[in-house]
Amino acid sequence: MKKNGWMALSTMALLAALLFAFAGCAKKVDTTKSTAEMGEGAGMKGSGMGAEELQPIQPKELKNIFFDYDRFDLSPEARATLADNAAWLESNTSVKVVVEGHCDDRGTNEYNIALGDRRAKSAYNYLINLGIDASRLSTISYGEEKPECTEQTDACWSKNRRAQFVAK
Amino acid sequence: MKKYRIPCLKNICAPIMIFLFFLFLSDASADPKIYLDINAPAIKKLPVAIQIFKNLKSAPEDLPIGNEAHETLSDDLSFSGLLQVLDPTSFIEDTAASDTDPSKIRFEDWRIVGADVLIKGTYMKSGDQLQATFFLYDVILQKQISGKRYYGRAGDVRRMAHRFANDVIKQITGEEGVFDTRVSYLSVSDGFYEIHVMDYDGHNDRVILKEKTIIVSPKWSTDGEKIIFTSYREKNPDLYQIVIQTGEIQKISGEPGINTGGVYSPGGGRLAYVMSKDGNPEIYILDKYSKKPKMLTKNFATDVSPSWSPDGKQITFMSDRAGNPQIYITDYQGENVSRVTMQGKYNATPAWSPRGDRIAFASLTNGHFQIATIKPDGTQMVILTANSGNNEFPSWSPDGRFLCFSSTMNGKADIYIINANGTNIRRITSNPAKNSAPNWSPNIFIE
Repeated sequence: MKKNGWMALSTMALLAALLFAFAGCAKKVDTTKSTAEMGEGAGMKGSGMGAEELQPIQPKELKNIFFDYDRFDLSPEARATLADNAAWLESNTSVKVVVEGHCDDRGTNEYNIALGDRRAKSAYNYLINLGIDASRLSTISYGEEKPECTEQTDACWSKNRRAQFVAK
Repeated sequence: MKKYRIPCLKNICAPIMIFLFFLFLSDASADPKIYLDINAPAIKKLPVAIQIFKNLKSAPEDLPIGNEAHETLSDDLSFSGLLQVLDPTSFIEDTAASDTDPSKIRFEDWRIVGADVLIKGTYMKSGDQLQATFFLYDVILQKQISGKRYYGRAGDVRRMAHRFANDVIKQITGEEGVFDTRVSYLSVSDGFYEIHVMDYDGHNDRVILKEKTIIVSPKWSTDGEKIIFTSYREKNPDLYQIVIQTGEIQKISGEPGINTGGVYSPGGGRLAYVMSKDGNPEIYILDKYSKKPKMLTKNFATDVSPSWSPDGKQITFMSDRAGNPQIYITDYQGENVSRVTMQGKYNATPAWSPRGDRIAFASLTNGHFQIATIKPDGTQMVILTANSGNNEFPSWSPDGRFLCFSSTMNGKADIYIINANGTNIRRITSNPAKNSAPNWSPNIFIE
């Protein structure tokens, strides 16, 4: 239809204009801001545009596992969950996963980053022992910096002491 | 004490010029009298009268400058815990009629108000240029102890007062003051992580680095020119440093696993930090010359948060090798390891005093972290804070007389300073963000 054709054309024109504006903006950011001054996307804010970091996707079949306070050993429940996760990974061989280690906010940030590293590695090593190829897995610790829940309660803390499995 | 070049910070890069003249210092060349023995077990504070400073141009619009100098100097000396700053409303001598020539000062009027020492000052602003002169007198001996003149811009008035406060402390105790130092800290709000630097008293706060990714544990380099920190800017906790003057970011360590807790040795040639690339988190030492990190701890436990002894021969750190996190000491070869803390189930973030005699740390007591100090041999533990918040990240002033730390004692996390004997707690951040991980700068001078 003629009307639709015009709409498509004008949409394309608009897109082109936006792209042009974006390119101009990005260029300006590169030349005027040093890395040190700039947060991610911060340079674009001034020209009315925003940028947001997209959260990585956690396949819903991959369940979190949980840890006791100041521990990184795997409970029987955590082992059972890891076995389920391993089974799913075996039938979805294209998926690569980052194992994230997290802590509750009690204790110091530096110690918790170390503890989160050990939690992530506990889960990582267990998955490898279950036969998952190491090339599909990596680890990162966020310590206490990315809580699921921010209340100061036992229930909340236990949700935060976790390893999480995120698609790369 | 070591002298450092003043860092010219990115956002205030016009150089601050304070020229210093020693005035009438004939008295100081003789054997200096020490007014206070700061190592004595109990100090009787020295009463000081700080007269309202005299505006030489009599320009009423310049009065706030004089008031700011007076307030800065009074706050510094009061916070030192060594002097008792007397109430100016009780003073007899009128500033307008006063003189700085010791032969014309009515010292008996200052005896009556209870002063042992007296500070007078004059200032004059022309355009943006400021000249300030301060004098310290012995009221009992009726003579001048010290006199200094500073030239700079009107905006330098606080720094001039801080410098003279340093001089007063030096004249009275024989040791340089630390009132011209800075504190760095981490400020988190709306998903942004910022490294800030401010004067030790919370003034002149500025942002050194703002990122949308997590930043952890910013700490000064030994030369006061860089701040070392852990950032997730490349999707892993890696170790970087930022050159304050230029804003340049240099990557130091990006091994798989964690790269945290970076801290330079007192001489600046070595770096202690934590990596988990070889399995579990261990402390490593990177030598400036060999450029190859050497494993300091070798243990199945988690070893983190290193801090150097002032002679650079030992490191205190935190380890859970005995089942829960405690403070340990090792020599820099990784041998002769000893446990320092025996009390409590969670002792963290040790910081070795620049005086060498104590280690400050955060100690979990009754469900809250409190700031404590202990002798390196594990004796004489003292808890400095007692509140219902969490008090963490102790860091010493370069003279070892004060600590800064973060606390939630008033709800939100903010930065506080405290006298090492536990007195004079003062909050120094006032922004609405969550402020933590303070680190006291080395002593920075321009002279």
